Amino acid sequence: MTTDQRPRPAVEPVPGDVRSAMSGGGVWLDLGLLTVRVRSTVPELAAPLCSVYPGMVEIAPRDWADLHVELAEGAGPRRWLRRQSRFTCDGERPFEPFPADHALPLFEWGTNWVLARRMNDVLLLHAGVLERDGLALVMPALPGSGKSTLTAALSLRGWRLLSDEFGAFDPQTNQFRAVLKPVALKNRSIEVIRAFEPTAVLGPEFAKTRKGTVAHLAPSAAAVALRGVPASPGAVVFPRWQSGSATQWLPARPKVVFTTLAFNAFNYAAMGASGFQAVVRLTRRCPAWQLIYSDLDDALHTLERAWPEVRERALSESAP
Amino acid sequence: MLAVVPVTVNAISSQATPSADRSDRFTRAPGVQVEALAGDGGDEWVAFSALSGETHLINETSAAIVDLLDEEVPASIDSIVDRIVGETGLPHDEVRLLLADAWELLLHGGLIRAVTVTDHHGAAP
Repeated sequence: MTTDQRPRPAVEPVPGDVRSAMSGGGVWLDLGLLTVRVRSTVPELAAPLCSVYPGMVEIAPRDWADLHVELAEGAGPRRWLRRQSRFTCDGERPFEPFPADHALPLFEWGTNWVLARRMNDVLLLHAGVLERDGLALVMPALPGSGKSTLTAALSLRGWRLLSDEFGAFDPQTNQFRAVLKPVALKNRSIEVIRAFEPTAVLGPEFAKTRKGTVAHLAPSAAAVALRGVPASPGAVVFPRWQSGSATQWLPARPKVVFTTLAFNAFNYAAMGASGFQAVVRLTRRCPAWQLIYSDLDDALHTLERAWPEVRERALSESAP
Repeated sequence: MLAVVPVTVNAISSQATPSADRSDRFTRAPGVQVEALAGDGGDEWVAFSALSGETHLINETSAAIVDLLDEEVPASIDSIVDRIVGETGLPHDEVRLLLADAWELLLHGGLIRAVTVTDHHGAAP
């Protein structure tokens, strides 16, 4: 995997140019850990792609891409009637076609699916990851736990987003690397985040997907600019949204941390001993808590209050 | 959202009835790694078997056994008990009792192996 250090073009490409480029040689998305080359003959992809990947869509060809994905229009009559988009990566088509106007969700789920199966040189946790003070806050969670809502809210309050979906821990450097993509918000979370931060940049809403209505929160300019900068392990928090619950902040025992991290890793089994050692190191290094919440502001305040302890611990461990 | 790949993390507790014989010899299974989950040791340990790809949660007693065994040179239960007594100063009977349940569970988990030791005439002792 490479991160191209070339400066980004000063002028953001317009959707028309992106659409044209995608129907030819493609455009390049530098996510931090990896680069994705995107080609598409579905015209509906360009505008939402530009809106949720601000400053990340490049038209100028790169020498290398880790993933080459393609969205193609449906064949036969489906090119004209109830138009479709089909996701392909290296000849593999993991999903049934989506409606053409759902090209962005298809692109997002398709690339996530491929990423989860290919990135086996890092421990890939299913987790939201944000950075502060050079330290990573890692939030592994199962679907429905409120992880994305909390990740989005933190990213709108000054925490640098590394990923909403992939906690990419590099066992060679012992650092988390960004896999910077927009935060996928679903159903009620969309309104929660709009109310939480009215200036939040969300892409279009896509109704009636297999997960209900989805909308994507664009990463901040700072997150985009620093996506090549890794973060050291800081803390592990297991979030769980529970309707009507008071905020609870409970220490997690090491064996709970270990098993939850291992279970939430896409590639723990594939990585073998390297994955085992990586999870052991994270368990030893990171203080961990379970965060049960229903009030988003209160959950954020709780995290903010705990963070100095995380920083102090990291400082004491890095002291000679 | 993506499906998570299931991972085998087994808990090895000390509830089973021991059946390993005192005359048995044991080795650590090839490629087994044992690690403490807390920096200060504690009673939460994990073991990984490179052969099976399985991870096991183990207690400190089981961790001590696996750690003391060698991959090549078989050791008896008595010799392991003696070493722990020597290093900890705990009473001999207490250590033997502590370890009693662990052998069979570690065998089941593939973390240790029972070895048949032959004498120089080729017969089992």
